[in-house]
Amino acid sequence: MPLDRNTSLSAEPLLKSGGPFTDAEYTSEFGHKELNDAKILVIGAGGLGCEILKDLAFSGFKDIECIDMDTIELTNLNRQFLFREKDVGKPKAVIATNFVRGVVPGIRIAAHYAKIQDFDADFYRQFTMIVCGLDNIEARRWINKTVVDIALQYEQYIPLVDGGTEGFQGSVKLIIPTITACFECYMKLVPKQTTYPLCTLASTPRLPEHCIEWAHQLEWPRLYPDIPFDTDIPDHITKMFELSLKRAHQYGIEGVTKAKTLGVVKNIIPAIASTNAIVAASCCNEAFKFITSCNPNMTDTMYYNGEIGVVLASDKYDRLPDCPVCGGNVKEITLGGE
Amino acid sequence: MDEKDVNSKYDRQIRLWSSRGQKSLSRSSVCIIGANTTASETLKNIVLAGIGRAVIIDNDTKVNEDDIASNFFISYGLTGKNRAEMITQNISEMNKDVLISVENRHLKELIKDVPFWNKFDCVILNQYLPDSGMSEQLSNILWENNVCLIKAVNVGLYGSVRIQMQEQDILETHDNNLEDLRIDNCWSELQDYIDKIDLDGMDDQTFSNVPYSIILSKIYQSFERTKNQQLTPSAIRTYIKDHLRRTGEEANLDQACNRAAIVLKRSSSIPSNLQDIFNNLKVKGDPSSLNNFWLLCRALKIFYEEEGILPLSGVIPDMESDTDQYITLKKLYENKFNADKNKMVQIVHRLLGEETLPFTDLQLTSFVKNCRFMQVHRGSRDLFRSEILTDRENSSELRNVNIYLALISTEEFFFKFHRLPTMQDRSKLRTITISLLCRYNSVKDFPDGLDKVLDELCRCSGAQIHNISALIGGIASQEAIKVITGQYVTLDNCLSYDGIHSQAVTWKI
Repeated sequence: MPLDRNTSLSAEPLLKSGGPFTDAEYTSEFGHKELNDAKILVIGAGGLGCEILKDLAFSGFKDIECIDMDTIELTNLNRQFLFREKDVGKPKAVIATNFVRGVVPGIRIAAHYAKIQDFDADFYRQFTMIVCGLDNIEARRWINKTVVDIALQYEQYIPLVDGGTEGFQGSVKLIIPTITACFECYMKLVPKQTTYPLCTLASTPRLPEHCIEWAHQLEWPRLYPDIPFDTDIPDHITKMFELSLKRAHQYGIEGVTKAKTLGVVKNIIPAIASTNAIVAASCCNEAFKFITSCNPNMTDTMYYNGEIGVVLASDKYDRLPDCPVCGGNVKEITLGGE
Repeated sequence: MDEKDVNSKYDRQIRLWSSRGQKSLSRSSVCIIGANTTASETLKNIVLAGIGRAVIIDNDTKVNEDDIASNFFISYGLTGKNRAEMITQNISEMNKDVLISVENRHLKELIKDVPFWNKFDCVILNQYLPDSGMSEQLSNILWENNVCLIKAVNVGLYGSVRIQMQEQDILETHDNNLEDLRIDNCWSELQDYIDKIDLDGMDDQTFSNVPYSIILSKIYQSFERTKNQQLTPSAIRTYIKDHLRRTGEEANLDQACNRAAIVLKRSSSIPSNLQDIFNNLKVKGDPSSLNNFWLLCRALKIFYEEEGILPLSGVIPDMESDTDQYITLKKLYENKFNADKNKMVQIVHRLLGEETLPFTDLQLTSFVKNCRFMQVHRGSRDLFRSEILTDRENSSELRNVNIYLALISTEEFFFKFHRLPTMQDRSKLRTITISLLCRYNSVKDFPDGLDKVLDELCRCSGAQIHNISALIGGIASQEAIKVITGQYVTLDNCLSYDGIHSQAVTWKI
């Protein structure tokens, strides 16, 4: 059934016939049918998610669902363009999909204000492809394991396109479970979060960060054992800042500010609209090519960096033979000697 | 970061370009020519970032079926309405801080109006103009007034971005770690401090709190004195193992081993980007005629000639230590930074022959801190150079050169036929490409793979694919933000993008 607003029209020349790089067996019927029938799951309706929903809707995909567990905050508005100030506090998945439905009448688009872990394999098996715009490693590992397990158990291969950004940098991974490298295979490339040794925090602070982490990890639990620290309560942030500042003064350390306090305790990752636009567009371009076969896909992974000029390059990445998720070899470990 | 910006809607970007960068954005004016999908995506990103104002020139274009199919910011069912006005309305909603307006005059009327163009920090062009004359006129007027022109276009899965600007001075390149420890070049106060530290006379606890820079300086100096062996990172590691290790647990020694390579750094040498700046004729001109940037460059050159070294950045890394030693050391570096900064002030006074400074203390601080890695870009009005092709004839980058050639041929085709090429136009486009190659004297053979690229381009019949528009618009907007804030390093100065292989290659014209 055609959409009310025909967003696949602009890609029509690509679908109509194969080009010099297209697989020789490509037919127009195939491309159209696959695009028509595809059901896409978008995980995350944040900075990347808003872009991904727009891009998929304007690639001609007609059936989209979106999962996100978060609500909208003021600091989202410099990039999450489907949200307005009046939406602060409302669920991202709902507001984002409503917006897209308003722009593309006739599109089937549904929201799940929930965690990805709330759904089982049967839920995920209804999708042709999953596009992720997540902001944390744990959720990526979870969904990656889920699609690999589905591939192993049902021989149903649901490709995963994973986008990620941080400031001026970003990456895209195209994961075809058990065929190309899975997210777990890439884990050794994922940078570790900075942590500070406890003894530095407790006795030899040198940086503003040390004072803030001291307040966060040691002093708060000591002073308020019954009140869990909550970054969403402004009063908590103010108290944390004051504790950090007092510590800094005591040791003659400069540079503790409210901005820095928030940055450290919330582990804030800088984010801008332009990088999200580039990475999301690249994710959806790969999704469109994969589903329609109108052109070949990139090899494995793309890296973007706009800090010094523009770097945008894709590269081959091999599966890890002993990957704990897709490696396929069950390792037997015997515990205990006696 | 200013207090008022914390937790504001710009919080997540001010952490990248500081409140100062944000202020530059909020005061900026950008002109967008054409309101197609790529232009709308570009505009969206700079409006979200919080530029001051945007002006759209779209020559009264009306919404057509292509816009409906590919542009998110065109409302459905409104074919025939004024396109720029609809974009303005829909994008304005995203950020009320930004004033977006539609310029009613046509580009043809505006093209010679210097005051009109002069007020922009950046002009962005996302489509081919109707004729080569107008394209040249626009390029010239912006070049002569040193207004940045970003031309970012896409056809099918291909795109290109070109930045044209006579000169761009980038101080805060964020290119490198600003840490400057001066292991090989201690000034007298630092030397006194190092000399007072007697490693042998220390108990294990105190010893393990000596910052690694002090340890490396001491080793460096002992190597220099005895000249017994060559100074290499591995020789340093061996020295630490043989002469300094006590309990084996010293974290400061671990850091000294890990960072041993910094002893090879020659503090007196300067990177080539800075050498180019010192060689620039501008630093030799009449000081009173120079802008602040070049005045400071001139002062810096004099500083370097007199001191044999650049001013200290004053930035040091975290080092295993106790609070007192670390803070004392940090103060030593800060004091030296301030002394060098004062010397810069004296040089500027000498140059200008007066006691007032044309810049603020904050600007001077930023200059002294960042000067080692600053860059000056010099642009070009040309579209192509034959070396871009000949340098890459046997490399994997050739495909991206072919894409760029195909896109500039497409522009010529557009000038000639006022439409974009389709499969039927293949031979016409090929002829244009050959004449273009001849013009740049680079045809020995028709480049490998160019035929395929031309085929792919014709296959798309000029379609704007939303994803590619969003990607090219994303790059164009990010470059505009870099130009406006003067932070991070702008593309210098041309890029071609291949959406089939997900690959971009850049080069300088």
